[in-house]
Amino acid sequence: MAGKHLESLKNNERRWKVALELLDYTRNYLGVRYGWHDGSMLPKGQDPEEIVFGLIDRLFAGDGRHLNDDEDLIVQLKGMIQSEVWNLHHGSDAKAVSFEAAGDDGPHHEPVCSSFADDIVGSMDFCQRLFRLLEEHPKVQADEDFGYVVLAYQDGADSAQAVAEKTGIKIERVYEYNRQLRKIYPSLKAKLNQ
Amino acid sequence: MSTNYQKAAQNLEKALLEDSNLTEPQLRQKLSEEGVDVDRFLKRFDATFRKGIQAKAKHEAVEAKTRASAARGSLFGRIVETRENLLALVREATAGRFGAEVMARCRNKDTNAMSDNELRSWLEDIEKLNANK
Repeated sequence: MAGKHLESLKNNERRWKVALELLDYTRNYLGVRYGWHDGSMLPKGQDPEEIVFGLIDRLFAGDGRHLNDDEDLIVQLKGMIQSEVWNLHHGSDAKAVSFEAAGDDGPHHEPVCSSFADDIVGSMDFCQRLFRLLEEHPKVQADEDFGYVVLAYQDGADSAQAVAEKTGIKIERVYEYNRQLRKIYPSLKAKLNQ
Repeated sequence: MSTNYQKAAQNLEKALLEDSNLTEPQLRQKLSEEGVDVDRFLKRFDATFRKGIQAKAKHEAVEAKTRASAARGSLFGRIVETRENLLALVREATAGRFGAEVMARCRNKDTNAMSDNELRSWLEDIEKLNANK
């Protein structure tokens, strides 16, 4: 790690913001793409925090990770996190183990942490069933606006902003629904893979 | 309505991963609510960062020392400033004091036609070649 990004991280406030953003992203990414949740185990006994620390170590060691001063720091770091997670799941001894019931959906609906996601979301049929399960989820059924949010994604929305525009729901609430979806989504995806 | 569910799922995942522009206090609160010990995490992050800075400084110091050592040279010793001393080094090299290979490099060189800088640079080049063997 060198240059202006390193200098910027010497500032405590900046470093802490970056650190928290990175951890939040790592947790979200693992959940959405790999069905990870607190209580499930990642390959090699890793957890999101270890992934973040490992990346920082690599950056200082220049171990295949280099920051470009001309590009946004957070964007680069998030890309590196994706790569670290991919490597973790596709390494020679990468074997995901799930344990402990802790899913948002209660017993028998625990998300399992597996590498089913890879870089694709699944077949058309898989995705259709995924949306069906989302629509039928009790939390979505219980909240009309939540249902509209799910429908907006089916209708082509690709961001919280787009959902807000399609549904007329305030973006802050869309972010809140997205947070709920992040909890629900991995368990449904895992359910379809069983 | 004909829905492309694959595209929709991709969009959904993209949206779920997008930056929600949370401030540091909001991130702290969110992560805390998810069960993260934020203070412990930041403490370890700081320690990892400090360790990296120290390792980097150490690495740079070693590199600088290596460069200084290479510049100083192990064959001719410190390549001195005056022309008289530079020429004295060439004479010693031509006489074979630094080995046959260096002697061969110096033998047919017309050092009288060279400026002080050229002479110094040439001797440094011989040093580097010798160091890389």
